[in-house]
Amino acid sequence: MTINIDIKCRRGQYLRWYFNGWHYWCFVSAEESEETQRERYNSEAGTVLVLGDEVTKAQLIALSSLMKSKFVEILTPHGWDKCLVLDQEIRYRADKNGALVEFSLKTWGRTDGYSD
Amino acid sequence: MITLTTKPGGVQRLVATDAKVRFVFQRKDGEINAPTNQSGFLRIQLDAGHNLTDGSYIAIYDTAEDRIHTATVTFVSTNVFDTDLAWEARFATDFDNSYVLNYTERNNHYVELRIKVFKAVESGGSISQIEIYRSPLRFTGNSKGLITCDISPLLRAEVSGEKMGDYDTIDVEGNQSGAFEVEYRERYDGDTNAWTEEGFTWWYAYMQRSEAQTEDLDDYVPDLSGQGIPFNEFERPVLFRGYPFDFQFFWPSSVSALLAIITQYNASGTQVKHNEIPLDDDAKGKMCSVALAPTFVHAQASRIQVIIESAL
Repeated sequence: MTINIDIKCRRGQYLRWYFNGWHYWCFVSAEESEETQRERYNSEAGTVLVLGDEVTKAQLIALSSLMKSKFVEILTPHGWDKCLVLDQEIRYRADKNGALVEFSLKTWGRTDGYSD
Repeated sequence: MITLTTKPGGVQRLVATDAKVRFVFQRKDGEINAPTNQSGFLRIQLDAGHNLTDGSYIAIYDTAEDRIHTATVTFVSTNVFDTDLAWEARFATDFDNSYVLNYTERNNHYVELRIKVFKAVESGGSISQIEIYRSPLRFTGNSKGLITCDISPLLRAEVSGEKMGDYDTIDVEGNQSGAFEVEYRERYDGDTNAWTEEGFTWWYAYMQRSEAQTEDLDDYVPDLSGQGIPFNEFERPVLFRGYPFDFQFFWPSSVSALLAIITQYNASGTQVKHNEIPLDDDAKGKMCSVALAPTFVHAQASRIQVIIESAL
């Protein structure tokens, strides 16, 4: 069995979720992105996260498993915390560079993620 | 009497919990020999081992029309039975080698099925193996005596979303996978039937599958040539430098030793690091995770290739 893994460098909100295997992605908070309009979201409902860079269509399909997962967690300085993904589907918006995917994420009891 | 006629698909006996996992039984309370016309009514001869009596209410399976006829036994002589079903000439062939269901002496019939689960559990930071019987399920058949036993509810109860382990080199995903054995018995009013072992060890993994994909996870079991699929929706998973990361695969119970060959490349495609790491066989026969620690990833690496192969 061969597995090829790409390496990225980014700091942000690190999530893991289980859907037919464990998946990981480092998201970026919406207020850090120049491409989103944060007032479209109710900031009290949770934190808005975006992907942070371009993804391929295949990666987008894989990332949509986050919406189907019943077990989503965010990495915090205290360890992994359970999360609740509020949106029922990923909203896809293409910008001049390609695709950005947006969804709202509420952390269970916390709204901060881990980043250094 | 019941016969196990169909088992879940797949040679490797690895099944998905979130799909129908069906063991199918055929009930036959007597197999018919030589149907004949007895004064305008059906007369049948059954093999020994039935328990029909005068007045038994029975169903007779019609092989040509794929349906049943109901009838009452009017006369019994050893293994020969007369019924009140009006004779048709075609019965001579269409009922030969067919079967009957006995609604009177096999009243309230069902199949009882239970599983014995073998799984890893984590307590106080250490992992131990347990084996435990789960409460049995009951399954009733259709009018033709076909009994379909979907055990996926039992398997779904064995899994959860809790991650096991702490990103050691290799961890067992005991909350996502395990093994089980199946036992079953035929039940009806007054029976004293014992449990029968199905005879094989099966494995389950927490996977959601469509009807078209089925429960069969053969593709995820590495074969001798090393072909197999990891448990991941990404064709190429992404590791974010400095964060915890692992991937999952199924370690076949028939393979006693595995080796992880990990090669790291820089952006130019030049190898910058190479490791060959033996994997602990405590994970044999389970879904397991292989972790790539932040300190393990080379500072110049832009991609990693991992090859899992037999160490023998």
